[in-house]
Formats: sequence, structure tokens, C-alpha cells
Amino acid sequence: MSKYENDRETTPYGIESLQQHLTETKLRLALLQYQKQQDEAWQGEYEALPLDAPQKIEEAHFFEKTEAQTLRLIKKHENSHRRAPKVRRTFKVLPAAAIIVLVLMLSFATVLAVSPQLRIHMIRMLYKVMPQYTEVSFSPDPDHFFDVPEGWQGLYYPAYIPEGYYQTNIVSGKKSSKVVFSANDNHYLFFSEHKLGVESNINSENSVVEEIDINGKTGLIIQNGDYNMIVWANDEKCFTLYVTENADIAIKIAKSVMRIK
Amino acid sequence: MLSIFATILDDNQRSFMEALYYDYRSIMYGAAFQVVQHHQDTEDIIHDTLIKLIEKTPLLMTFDCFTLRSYIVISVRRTAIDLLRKRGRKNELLFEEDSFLDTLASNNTSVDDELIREAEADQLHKALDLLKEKQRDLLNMRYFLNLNDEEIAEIYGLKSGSIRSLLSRARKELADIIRETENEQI
Repeated sequence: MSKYENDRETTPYGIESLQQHLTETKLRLALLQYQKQQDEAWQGEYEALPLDAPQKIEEAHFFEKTEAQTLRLIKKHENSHRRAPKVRRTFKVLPAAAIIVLVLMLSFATVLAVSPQLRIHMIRMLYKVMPQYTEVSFSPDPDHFFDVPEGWQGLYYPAYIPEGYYQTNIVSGKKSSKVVFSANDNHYLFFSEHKLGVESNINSENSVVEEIDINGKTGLIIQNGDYNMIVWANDEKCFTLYVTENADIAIKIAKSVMRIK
Repeated sequence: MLSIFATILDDNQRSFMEALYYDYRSIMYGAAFQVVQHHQDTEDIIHDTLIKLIEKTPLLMTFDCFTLRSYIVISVRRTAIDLLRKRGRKNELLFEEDSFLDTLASNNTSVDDELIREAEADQLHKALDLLKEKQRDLLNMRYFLNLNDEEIAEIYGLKSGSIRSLLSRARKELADIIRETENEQI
């Protein structure tokens, strides 16, 4: 989905809301452009100063005195931001349901190359339980597919990305693969896949931490008012999902992560 | 920005904020010192801003370098204004509490907004340049940092109703400047 299509999805329809949206967007753009010009002017003046200018000497002394303390502070707060969570265990009983006919989306993916992304089509399995036999059929589902960035080297990828998000960055390597999506109004989504065995501290301050089930594997959801984070692993990889959406959407994304290779 | 992004995405490299600190500390220093004119306060502002930015790391990762630089500068100013208010210092960047603010909203808000909406980019740029610095800060907090009325009210030590009125006044002021420049052109 292109950026423009995403914008279309999140732009309001009502005339008054649309006008307000337009005014605010225009103001934001003007403020950004104004600030950019101010910053460039400042930077130009700063760089033109000789190294022995009083302003630069004063600044150098300032950072000489404060650098070590600032770096300690950054380290402390980054660590605290990733502090290991206290787990509050919650158990949920799933209601049992008698189901006769199910339509399942499976991750047995067929891959069609669509430059610059790979398009993964789902396989649709239909089965019907009859008194004496069970009828089963498989077929590619033309209506259900998702795109994977060409450079993605991970084994897994989320099949579900909420409407309005567009990919802004991707870094993929042997040890880990990470992708960042953005949407309007400072919404973002961060998904990463790592090899098993990595350790990490997660910021759980002012958050509720619960155990959840992600496709049969235990995971943790860290619920904050502003964002939700889910960490989980399967037999091959461990995953992190960080999204500025509610818990239901976060879980839906996590559950959609499937093997693509 | 590329160096910062590469850093955060490489588990073995130094931290994101450390890279950000080295890349932008001069402009942070300049922006903070310009407001408070005091080294100890400048240090406090840089520290408080970095702590706030750490919480925004995933968002910052999505910015291009120009937006990131501007976001940092505006964040520094926000922290500086907060500090001025906490220290009880008189400063032209702060707003005085005005008991009439809550009730004083412009009657022509929609007309003013329409004028802003239809202004040319260079008209808006000139108008922003002529706007009072504290009103520009207010607009930046709302439209750039995306802070809500309550969050801005906390920074200025005012009621959220006052912030709504001040924002309305700032937009009106902007519209008035655009009107004046239009008239001058005629």
C-alpha cells in the first residue's frame, strides 16, 4: 500500500473535520519548514565560527565537564527503559465451541515475486466434518495475501499490518531483522525477529504485564496507555512487537506472524 | 540520521541516545543556553530532554535528519520553558495567568483557520517569523510535538482552558499577520 493510500485511509470525511485536519497539517508543515530554516541558519553560523571563538571554547568546556555524567545518565535511563518486567500472571479460559465447518488461513505460503516486495498468498483449507468422513480441500486464496519487503532476511513476518501504516525502515541481517512502520498522528509499529538466546530488558514502568498465548506459545504483553509491546518466541526465533495501538490490535498482529520461507 | 538508525538497529553498537547526543549536542546546548543563559540550567535541560527523548526512540527512528533536529530543538525549548516556570523566573517566553483567558475565544476562529488553510507557504513562513516567540513555541508544542492541552498546561503552569484560548489567540494572530501582509501587497 502506498503512503498516499494510507493517508487516504486516515483522513477524515466530514467537511469540518477535513478542514480542521487541513489547517493543522498546513500549520505543522509550515512550523517544520520554519524550524528547519532556523536550524540551518544556526548551524551555518556555528560552523563558520573559528575553533578558538569564545562561544566554541565555552561550549567545549561545558561538554568536557558534563559529558561523562550525561553518558551515565543516558545509560541509566536506557537500561531502566528496558528494565525486566514483573510478571503478573493471568489465566484465561478459552470457551469451547463446537464447530462443524472451519475456514483456516494457514502459513503454507506460496510465494509470488512482485517487485520490489514479495507477495505471500495464503492457502485456504476448507474442511467439512461429515458423519462418516471428513471432506478436505486446499486452494490458494486470491483475496488473502500480504507483502514482505524484498530485503527481509528473517524467517517470519506479520501477515497483518493495520490500515494506514507504511514501511519507513528495514534492517535485516543474519542475527536479527527489524522493520519499522509509521502512520499518521505519530503512530508507529516496530517488529523484530532475533535468533534464540538473546536477552533483553524491557521497560515496564507504569505498565501492566500479562502472559498471553501467541499461536500456542507463551508470550508477554506489556500494556502501557500509549503503546503495547509483545515479546514471544517459538522453536526457531524470538520476536518483539511494539505498536502504538490497543492490545487487541497488537495481539492480532503478533498472531499473524508466520513463517514465510 | 542514517548513522543513528544504523546504530539503534545494531545490537552490538553504542546506544541510540548516545549517538544522538554526540550528533546534536551543540544545537541542544545552543537552544537551551539561549533561553536560560545559565550553564547549570543548560545541563539540566539537556539531561531532562534526553530522558524524554529516550521514551520516544521508536518515533525518532522514523524521522529524517531535518525533522529529527527540529524535534530535538523544540523539545529542548519545551524543557527550558518548563524549567523557567518551575524556578519561578520571570521570562518573556512564559504566559501570565489571565482569569479572562478561559472565556476569551476568538469569534472568528473558522475565518482565521480558513485564512491559514488558504495561505501560500511563503506567507505562512513570513507570518510565523513575525509571530511572538512564545506563541510560536505554543504552536510547536501543539502541532509539532503533538502535546494535548493538559500536557501544555502543565509546562506553562496554566489551566487547560487557558491553553485552548492561547492557541486560539495564536492562530488569530497568525491570521491577522497574513491579512496585513495581503493588504500591504494590494
